[in-house]
Amino acid sequence: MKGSLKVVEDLSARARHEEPPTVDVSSRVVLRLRREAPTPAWPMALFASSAAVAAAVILSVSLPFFDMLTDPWSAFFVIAANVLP
Amino acid sequence: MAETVSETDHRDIAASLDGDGEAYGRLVCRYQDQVATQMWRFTRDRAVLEELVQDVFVEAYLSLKGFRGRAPFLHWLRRVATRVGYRYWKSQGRKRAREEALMETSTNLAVAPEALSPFEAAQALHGLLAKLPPPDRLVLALFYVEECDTNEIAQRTGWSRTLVKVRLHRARKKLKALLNETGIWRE
Repeated sequence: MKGSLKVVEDLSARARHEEPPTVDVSSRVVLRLRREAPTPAWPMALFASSAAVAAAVILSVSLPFFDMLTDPWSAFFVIAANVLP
Repeated sequence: MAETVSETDHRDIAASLDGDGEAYGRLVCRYQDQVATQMWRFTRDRAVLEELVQDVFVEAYLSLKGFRGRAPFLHWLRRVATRVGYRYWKSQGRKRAREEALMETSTNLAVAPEALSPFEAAQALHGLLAKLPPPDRLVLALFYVEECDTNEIAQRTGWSRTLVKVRLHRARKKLKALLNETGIWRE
């Protein structure tokens, strides 16, 4: 196999001396990165934490009112208890 | 002593991670020639080359947090470049590449490799390898053109050493058959 691939080795040896075209992509890379930069997560986090704080405040305010709630059937049972022998 | 990341690179990488675009621009300027040389083995089209070099640096930036700094920055960049180039090859239609390659190779290899200019030799080699599937093409390009050993190929591609050895063996067999088929070399 070695003999047959000698041509590839020779070509590779010659190809290594090739001068590739010069490129200057630094400004385009920086521009592309600015364009493709992922959206920062903090606005969403800020919104989520504000919503959580608001929910906690509403819950703490509304909890005492919860005790005031009565069973809608209770009035019926009270009347029924009085009416029934 | 093992090579490690240079002080200048270390500073620019840290600044880039803090969002300093100019620092990353400096890193690009420092390494774009080496990356271009590597990517020129994945394409012979100048416009595509520029795109690929850009892709390498964009991808490198997006995974910069994963750079541990245990080896020089260029080594890590070469791994990213190999990944980008390999992906490019896989995205290319093999049929078109095969047709173009067949023409280039038979024209260029009518003469002995030593008589070819480096450009012609690279062109012919590119055409010849383009007739193989991307994994074979990659392993052969790294082995013959970049002169990487199996360890380096494994590092660059992320394949295991065993897989590299198996792929290299199979790729050489296919290449040999191809050389026979095109009449470039016969047993």
